[in-house]
Amino acid sequence: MTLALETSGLRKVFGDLVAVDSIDLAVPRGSFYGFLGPNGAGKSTTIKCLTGLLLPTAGTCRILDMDPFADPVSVKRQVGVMPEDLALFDRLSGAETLAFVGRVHGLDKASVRARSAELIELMDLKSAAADLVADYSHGMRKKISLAAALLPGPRLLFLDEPFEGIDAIASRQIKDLLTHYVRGGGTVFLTSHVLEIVERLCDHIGIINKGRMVAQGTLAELRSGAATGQSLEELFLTIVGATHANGPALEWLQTTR
Amino acid sequence: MLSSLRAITWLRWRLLANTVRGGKRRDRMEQISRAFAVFVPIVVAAMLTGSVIAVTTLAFIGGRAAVDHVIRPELAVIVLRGLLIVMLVVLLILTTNSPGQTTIGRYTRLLLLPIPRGVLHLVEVVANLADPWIVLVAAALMAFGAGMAVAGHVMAALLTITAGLLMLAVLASFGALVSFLVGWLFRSRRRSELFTLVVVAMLSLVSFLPMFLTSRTGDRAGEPRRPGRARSQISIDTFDRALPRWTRALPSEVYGRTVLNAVAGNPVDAGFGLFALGAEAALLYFCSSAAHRRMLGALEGGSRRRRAAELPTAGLPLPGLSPAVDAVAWAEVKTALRTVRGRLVVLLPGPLFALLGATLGRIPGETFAVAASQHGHLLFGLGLTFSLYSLQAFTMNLFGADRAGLTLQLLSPIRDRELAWGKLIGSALILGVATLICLIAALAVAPYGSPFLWIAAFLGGIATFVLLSPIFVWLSALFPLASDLSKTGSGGNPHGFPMLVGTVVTLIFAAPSAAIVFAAEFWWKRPVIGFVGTAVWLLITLAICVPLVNLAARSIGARRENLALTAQGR
Repeated sequence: MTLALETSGLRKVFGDLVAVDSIDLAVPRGSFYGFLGPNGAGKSTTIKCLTGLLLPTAGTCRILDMDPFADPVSVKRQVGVMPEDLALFDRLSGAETLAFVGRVHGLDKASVRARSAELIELMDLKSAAADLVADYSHGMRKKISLAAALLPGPRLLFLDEPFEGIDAIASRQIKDLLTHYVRGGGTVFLTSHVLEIVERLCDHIGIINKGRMVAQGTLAELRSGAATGQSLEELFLTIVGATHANGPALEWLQTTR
Repeated sequence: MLSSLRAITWLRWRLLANTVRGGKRRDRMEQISRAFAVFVPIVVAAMLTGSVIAVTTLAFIGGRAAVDHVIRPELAVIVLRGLLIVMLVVLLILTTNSPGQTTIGRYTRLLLLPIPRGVLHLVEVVANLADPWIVLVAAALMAFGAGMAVAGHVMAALLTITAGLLMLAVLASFGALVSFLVGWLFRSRRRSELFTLVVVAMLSLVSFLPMFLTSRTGDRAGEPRRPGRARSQISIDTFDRALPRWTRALPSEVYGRTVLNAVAGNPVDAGFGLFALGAEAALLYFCSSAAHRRMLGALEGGSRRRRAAELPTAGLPLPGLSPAVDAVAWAEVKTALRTVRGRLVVLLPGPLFALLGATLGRIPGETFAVAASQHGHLLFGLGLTFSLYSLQAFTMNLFGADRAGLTLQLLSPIRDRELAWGKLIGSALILGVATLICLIAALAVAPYGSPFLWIAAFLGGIATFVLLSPIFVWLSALFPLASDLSKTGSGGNPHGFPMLVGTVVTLIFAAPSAAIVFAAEFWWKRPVIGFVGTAVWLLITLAICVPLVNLAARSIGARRENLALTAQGR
């Protein structure tokens, strides 16, 4: 099995806070990898380390057989990212954002035009393509950020919460597009809190909790040790050790009293 | 209602206090940077405290002297009247100048909470009293009354202090009214930014009008004043009689009459004055409440205009640049010229110095300034230097103004050196547009002088920019600050330290070019030397600074993590 992404002992520390604690990731090429974890578990920090926005405190990493810390530019040419903050210029229009990304990746003008037109059509942004991103709604920003990640035709996609804030129609279109992309040999590494979507799309799952990898493998492998018929949500809650019984009862919330 | 007021007061205090706190993810350099950023508000606060003490002392002495008839009460009161009318104008200008600075979006969270809108309005009005200008006036008004009380005129003091309190209510309500009206009228980003741009440009240009008109009507600046002929004295009575009748209704005038009546021992007339001031305060409060309701109502609305779809545009490719440098440079130009700051940098210096030149040119006399105004290339050079200063919002914060756009650049296959050069070339293009406008404006008012000197002024400006370039990159990487260039106030400024350095260094680096031009024109009297000299100087600066920029670009790699955090506004 060739790996698109592999880390060994990846660690990121901020002062006293260990955000990512020696994690070992193994993402096969051509897989749809769901990276799950509760809020504050270290998912976004891991993605930032992998995409060069943060420098890991320790550990090694290989992305598409390249070292992202030694040769970041070569890695970035092969990778598309939709980060947490969406990474958009407020004062560029949607179309100009795509033109910028295409130009930075060294695509010729005709390719940029053709790809942008298709992506804008797909994301249903045609009527807003010339508007500044500053005037976009949150969902529209998500769509243009995803389009920007896809435009250079990357071999590996990092998507941080891609389905949050997107309408059902666009969500369906994006799911189809990503599935098509993976079938064509691309690799997707996504984080999401919508476990139903992850369950339906992803063939590989990694679960991080309090900075540590607590489970990794195919969905079938993760289910092998669990009760039969467990959903991913139940599996996830079991693995991260979160149950309703642990929480306070909030008796004062009983409005019928 | 009291608990809501307490909660909102606490909220405001925490928001203020938390601006001083740093995040946890900071290195030593970032901590020094933040410490410096905190130092500036502390200096401002210290200066304000000093001003308040000085004003309070003066007003206290004035109040005491007025009631004891050591000075004419009218004299003391006219100072207060002047202060109050200036205050009303300041409130009007500051507030109308800042629709793009405040966002009504901050109300959204509060509107979701069970807080009556009346309370929100009251808090906003009362919060205006914390404005430093109003704090100064409040100190003066209260100390004036206190001075009377200490002199033993308790009734006059009470009436004066009451009038002062009502006057403060007028000021707070007036400030709130203007603020809410502007917030409501310019609730869309486009309109508010356009309005800010027009107001700032108008204020800058209109400030020249008195001088311009005076020089036209002939104040005879060049005419020597005859000895023994003093300016005619204007008495307070004459001044008051000259005022139009409508000005009597102004709150500052009502306040003045009330205080004079109190000092003169006419409590009934002073009482009428208090009633009038109270009515004006109530009317302004009622109007501001209506404007507040309108503004909050606008939060739910907001239609977005959609233009027809356009194909992606990437700008003309810049010759000799890699695609990455070219893309970064164009992104810099486009994003900058779509902000209020960017448009001001480009649009303002040229017309400003043209107007200055035209104004000085009308003054009959042979001063150096008048002579300089007739040398168009000097005006052009001055405009260029001023543009360099204005451009500091971009050049001294190359990585802080893009916000999430910087994340996109950091995620893209762009080398640090390409990022630095792209940013610098983008800034140079913005300066180029400003230069073109400066050139047209200078040619319009003073199309004289040798073409060699015009070219020399241009080359000198470029050489100054080139010399500054490594400093731009280095300081921007060391002191990044998330800024919003749609703001004309401090929110759009770079970090204080680079700004301070830039202010000094720009002048020093412009000096060699200026010296060459001046020497060629006034000493050697051979313009061609100016042209050759600045061209050689430009080549020297390029030879020095290209490697220095490449060296400075290394600091981007070292500071990449901090830059990424700045891009996220942390």
